[in-house]
Amino acid sequence: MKRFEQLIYIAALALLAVLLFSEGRRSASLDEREGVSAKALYAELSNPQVKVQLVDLRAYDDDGYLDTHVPGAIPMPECDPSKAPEPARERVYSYVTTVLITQDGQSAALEACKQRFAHARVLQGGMDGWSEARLPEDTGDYAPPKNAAGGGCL
Amino acid sequence: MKRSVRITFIVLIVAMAAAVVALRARNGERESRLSAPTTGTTP
Repeated sequence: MKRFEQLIYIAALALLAVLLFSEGRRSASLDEREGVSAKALYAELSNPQVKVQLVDLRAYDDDGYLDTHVPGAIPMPECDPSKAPEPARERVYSYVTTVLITQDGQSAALEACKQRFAHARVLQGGMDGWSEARLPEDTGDYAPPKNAAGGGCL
Repeated sequence: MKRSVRITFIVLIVAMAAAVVALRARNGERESRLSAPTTGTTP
């Protein structure tokens, strides 16, 4: 028995590691389904250590992005780069944690964008939820951040 | 096997088992919350 003791411990550790990994995957997929609340997103954006990319999937017109948007959000209507304004096209990165913004937080947008981003969540309640939470908003055309700019986007 | 090595293994196994149980419970709770029908009531 003593001969196999070490082997048993290692097997138990390996089994627990597999279980931990599978629960981690399940947690990540729940993150995607559940989305992020406006207040939680605001807290994330306020933390300079956390890098989050905001992609606004609403139309780039006076009823959508130009009227009001989350500060720093990159416009990409319908998740189609060809519909995004010129300066925004090269700003969308696939391997950055991304929050997708729609008008009312419908998660159909997430399905459409799933292929594009490695880790994407939906803003719960969308832009309506952000406005209802009375969080800072921006209006007008998308302006890419200047290279010399420091700090957060809010 | 040395006593210290055995204790290290046991502590690791207990810690990992606790993490698995906690994560499973949290995921289960989130999953049931997500799958529960959302019924709105008007005051």
